[in-house]
Order: sequence, then C-alpha cells, then structure tokens
Amino acid sequence: MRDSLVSEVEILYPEEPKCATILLLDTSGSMMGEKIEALNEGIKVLKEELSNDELARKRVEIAILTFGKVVNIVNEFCSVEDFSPPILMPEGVTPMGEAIKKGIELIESRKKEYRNRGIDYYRPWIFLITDGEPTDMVPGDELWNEIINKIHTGENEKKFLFFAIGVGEVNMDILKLLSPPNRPPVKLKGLAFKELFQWLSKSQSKVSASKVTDKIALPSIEGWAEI
Amino acid sequence: MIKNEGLYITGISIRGKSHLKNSTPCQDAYAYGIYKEKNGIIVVSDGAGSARKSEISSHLIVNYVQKLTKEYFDNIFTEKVIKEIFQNSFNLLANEANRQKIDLQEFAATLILVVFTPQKIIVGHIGDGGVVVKSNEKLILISEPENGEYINETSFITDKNWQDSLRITLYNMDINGVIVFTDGCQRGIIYMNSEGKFVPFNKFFFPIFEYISNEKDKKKIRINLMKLLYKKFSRVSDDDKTMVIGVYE
Repeated sequence: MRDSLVSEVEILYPEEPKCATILLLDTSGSMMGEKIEALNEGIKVLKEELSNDELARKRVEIAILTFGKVVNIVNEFCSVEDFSPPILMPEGVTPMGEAIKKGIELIESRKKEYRNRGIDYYRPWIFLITDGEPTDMVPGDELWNEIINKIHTGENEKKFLFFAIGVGEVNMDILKLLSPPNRPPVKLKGLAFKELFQWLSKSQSKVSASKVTDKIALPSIEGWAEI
Repeated sequence: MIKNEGLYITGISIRGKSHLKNSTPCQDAYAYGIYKEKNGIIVVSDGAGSARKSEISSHLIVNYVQKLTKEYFDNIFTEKVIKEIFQNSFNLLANEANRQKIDLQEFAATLILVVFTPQKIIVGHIGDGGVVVKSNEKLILISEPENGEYINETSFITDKNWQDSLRITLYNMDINGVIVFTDGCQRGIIYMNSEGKFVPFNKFFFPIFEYISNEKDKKKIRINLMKLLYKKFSRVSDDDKTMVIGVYE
C-alpha cells in the first residue's frame, strides 16, 4: 500500500556541474592567411567533437577572447549547444597581457556565477594560442609582473589550469616565462589546429567525466605537438 | 534494520552509475546500532573516488567507530570524547596503511559519527555529506557538507591536518528523527537558500520521516528506500549514495 514512497517524496534535480574553458586567441596581423583559416577550422572541430560527447556536451562551457587590434570578447561563456564557432579576422598587434588579464577576470566571474546559482564546477581551463609575442608588455615591466603573478599564483592556488600553445614564428622563450613552471608551453606542429582542438575536446571529455580530486591523465599530445 | 524501545534505524548504500561503469566497488559504508535502549548511533563514511583502497577504509572505519562509540558511551556527549574517537580512527587507518605498505591517501574517506537520544544529539563530521534532524515538526540541517571550491573536493579523516576539518555539533532538543547521507544524495535533498545557507528540502524529508513512522511492515522500508535511491537519485549524481535513517515512533 505504501509502495508509493517513490512517488510521494520529491527531490531536487541540480544542474550539471560545469567545466569552463576559455580560449585566448591571437588575431594579430601575422595570423593572416593559412594560420587563421586553420584556426577557424579548428574551432569548428572543437564544437563538433564536444557535441558528440554526451557528458562534455552538458558540462563544458566555452568562451573566446581574441587579441589583435583590440582585446575582444568574441563569445561569452555558453554551452556547447549554444556555441557558434566564429570566423576570426586578423588585424593589429598582440596585446596578450591585457587578454590574459581579461580572461582570468572572465573565469573568476563565471565561477562566482556558478556559486551564486549553487552549481558545482570543475577547475577551469585557460587555453592561450599565439604566433608572436606580447606587444603590451616586456619582461620586468608592471603589466608583465602582474600577469606572471596572476598566472603562477592562479595555477598554484588551483584557480585554473593555464595552457600556452605557440604557432609558427612564436617567441617560445617568452611563452615559457609566462607559463606555470609545471606546465611549459607547447609548440604546434605546423598548422595542426584540427588535431589540437580534437585533443582539447578529448581532454575536456575526460575532465567532465571525472571527479575533480581524481588525477586525470590527459591524452597524448603527439598528434599536434612539435617535439 | 533494528528496533528497540520505539527507536527504529535502517540504512542503505547503492553503487553509483560511474562505479557500475568502471566496476568500482561501493566506496560508501555505514554502521548503526541502538545502545542502552533509546540511544542511536549512526556512522557513515564515503571513500574518495580517487583513493584506490577507499572501499576498504570506509568499511573498516564505520564498524570500528561504532564499536568505540559504545565503549565510550558514558561520556560521548562531549567534544573531547568525539575528538578521541576521530584520533583513534585516524590512527587505525594510519597503522593499517603502514601494515599494507600503501600511502595513507589511498584510504582517503569522509567520516560522520552521529549519536542521539530523544533529547540530544552530537555529531562529529569530516568532509561532505550531512545530517538532518526532525525536531517538533521542524527540519534542521545540523551538520552540513564541507566542500572545497571544485566538485567533490572535500576533507578526509586521512588528511594530515584532519583536526582542522573536524566539526563537532551538540544540540539539546527533542529528536524525532535523524537522516545521515553522503554527497551522492546531497544535491537532491539540500539546497542553498537566498542567504547562501544550505537548508533541507522539506518535500523530501517530511514525507520520508512520515512514511517510516507509519509503515507497519518494516521489512518493506529498506526495499522502498533502495527503489527510491535507484529511481530518483540517479540523475542527481553518478556517485555512490548512502542514507541511514533513525526514527522515534
């Protein structure tokens, strides 16, 4: 008679936990031509692959910020479903410092929003792709010190994971200084953007299916990294 | 299920979807007992998903803590004794890890100890999960989950600084019923109110307390609880789920 316990009690259905990923993309003039085309194609691949993964589709959120003529939020954080890959046009210089600063701000405000809405979340990823070096800061100046400090303490205090990818004539020495010591930058093999974004999607699938305390083994970067 | 002098306690653990998929054993464990007629003891532990041997530690620890609680019962309603029990539990796991020559972190598990009488309740708690009490038609979350910033990040009895994460709560009030749960259930039954405080979800707790008080056929209760966890809670979390319920009738 009381077998209806299941129908008598109500429970809450929380939202899926979120995994925020921000792409900081270099759209300076030097990206013109093949590079930007390959990057644009790569972003489409990212959307496709994430859409095909049941959990990642529900849990990953993507934002895109470009730096070239200006630092521009091309895409605010949104679900994989709502994400429409932009077509990026290169122009201008490389205000990488401002872009990183803005990217970290966006991550922090997204996390705050999750907290306010009672949504669980994973450690966000910051994914920087550049083919040059910053034009708005040099090692040792005020902005540089601020950015280095933000990246390194952010990584140490587990606020986010910072990945830097260099393309073509990139200044890898600068990227190395910027990157957290435990995660050196990686040089892209040719224009293997497609493989890079496939890897990013696979990694996000793994993260979004994990418990954060788990040590996640990321897939091999062989397909796109110059070794 | 046990019943004595109007106190009835039952509990259940089920494996979560993610554990079924990887054939990981259930890492949640619980133990309970009725002592000196009207006093209830409930112990719940959730073994960390990342710790390879946590199903061993969670089971080991709940039985050990229940036994120890009975030994210390005369002075149990004091912070000092609760601390001692947690210290002994830490020692037990440290020694066992040493004996098996594994890292203590492989035993990482949360621990909730609840002891109650019809007039008072004490809780010792490290980690997530929680304890809800029904007292004169009121629901109170007397011990809430301690969560880190990210999903499933919490403290464990095996932490070096476990003393800093131990929270002890003592209340003198009428106790009509107690529910202890692990984090696999948490999101479905407690929520953050507009002031940013976790509170119990009435539409879950009132009917379940009422059902258990009124069900004549006690054998059915556990089956119904199991159905409830499988049918309703699988969308709440992929994790193992445990619920232990004590009711004064």
